[in-house]
Amino acid sequence: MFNIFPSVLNSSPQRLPSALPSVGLSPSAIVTMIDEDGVILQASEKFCSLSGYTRDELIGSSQRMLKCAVHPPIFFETLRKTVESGSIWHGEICNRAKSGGLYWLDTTISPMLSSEGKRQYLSIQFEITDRKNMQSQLAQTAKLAALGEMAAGIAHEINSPLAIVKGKADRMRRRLGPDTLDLESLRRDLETISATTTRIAQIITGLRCFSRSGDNDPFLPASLTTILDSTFALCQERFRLAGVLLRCSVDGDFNLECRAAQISQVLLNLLSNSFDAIQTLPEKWVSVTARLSDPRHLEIVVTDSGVGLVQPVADQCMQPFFTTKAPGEGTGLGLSISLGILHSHAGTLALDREATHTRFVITLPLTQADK
Amino acid sequence: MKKLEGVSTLIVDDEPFLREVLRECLEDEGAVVCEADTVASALKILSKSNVQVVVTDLRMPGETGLSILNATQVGVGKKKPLYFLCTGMTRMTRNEALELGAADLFLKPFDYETVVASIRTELDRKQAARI
Repeated sequence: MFNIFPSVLNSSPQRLPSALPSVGLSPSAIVTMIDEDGVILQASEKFCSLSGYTRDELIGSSQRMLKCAVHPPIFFETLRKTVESGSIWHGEICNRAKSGGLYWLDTTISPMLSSEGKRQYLSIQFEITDRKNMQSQLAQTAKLAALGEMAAGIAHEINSPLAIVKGKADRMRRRLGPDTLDLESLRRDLETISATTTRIAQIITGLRCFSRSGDNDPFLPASLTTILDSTFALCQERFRLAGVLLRCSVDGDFNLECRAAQISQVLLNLLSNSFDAIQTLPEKWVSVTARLSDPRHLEIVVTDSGVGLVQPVADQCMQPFFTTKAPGEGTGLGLSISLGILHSHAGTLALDREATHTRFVITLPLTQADK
Repeated sequence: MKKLEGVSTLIVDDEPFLREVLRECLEDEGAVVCEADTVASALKILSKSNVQVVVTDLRMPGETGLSILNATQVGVGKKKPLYFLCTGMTRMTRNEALELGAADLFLKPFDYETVVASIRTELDRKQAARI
């Protein structure tokens, strides 16, 4: 089925670009031939100009020189398994140019045999960096919009503890006059100040964690409890003031290799959706539970007191720009972005249609190297 | 000389630490303090005891301090000075609070000495008006 390509590529590299249109590919296509060890055998002109390497530098080098930290190890593992099994792999890959800059490629990799019967891989790619940047900006905008919705709650969350710290500190200062010091009372005041500043710091950590992009963060081991705490710190005041009960039940802690900022974003998005949906109901609660669904996968479930999603909503809720909110109130991107984040973690997000209440189930592998 | 010697003051806030520090600061000035963590318990205390001044959080879970304000504004000559504490997340401005009859509105984190001074001034003004 691919026998036209080897004849093109086995010709001299110089002839390659002019030969491409004849097989129906636009000159903007990046065509590469790789051997089974990942060594680059042939590279088209477009590949050279985009990567910044000369053809001499590319040919004979491992394609690993183009790898960047955007994809987790499991991403390449899946790719390798697909093509090794003889199937075509299609997806989006981020590469690093010689200059250090990143660029994105829509990629199709087809396995084939060389004239000597050796396994080789033909990769046909098109640059999609602009589109990816736009998607990423859109995701960041959606996140900042969500942050704006929380801003008032965060002001309350921070100003109350600040009032406590200020009161305690001022009172200690007043009492440090000529009178004898009541050490026991001072100790209590200092404990309150210390505990309260920790509370403020947690909110700031949650904010910092949430507002950064996180797209290019490395996958690092993180404690689920820490992720949940920093997420709750951002929204529990809003929940509390609206009389929405936020329950969390996690037995012990789990360590998971992930981009913590992104997992926090997914959770906050589900919590915000629940909050908005149940605010007017007489029964208002949101519950978060976590357990191992199998020894290698974590299952995080967000359930709220709503009665589930009605049919068209249930089908479309994960699609970009789908929203049930009034114009200007929601971006309609929350769930689709969450889904993208979980896919990049080799995880899943699903609506449990069987449940009595509205119930979203997240699964995540504990380690990213896990196949 | 303590500024609030014997002044019966009710503190209303759902935040225990905030009640604690406010109580300490007012007691340091000689005030006699009682606390409530909800609007309902504040109203109960107001109906039973002889509270002279109220300092209340404006927004608490599922309710606001406005009903406490209404309860302090009844009875000719019996109006009690009420102070709102807020974090700026409610839309009420200081002027609106004053128009509604509150003695003042302080944004958290506020200066406790200013609160004490404001209560003293308000009580003195009431006293002078009576004479």
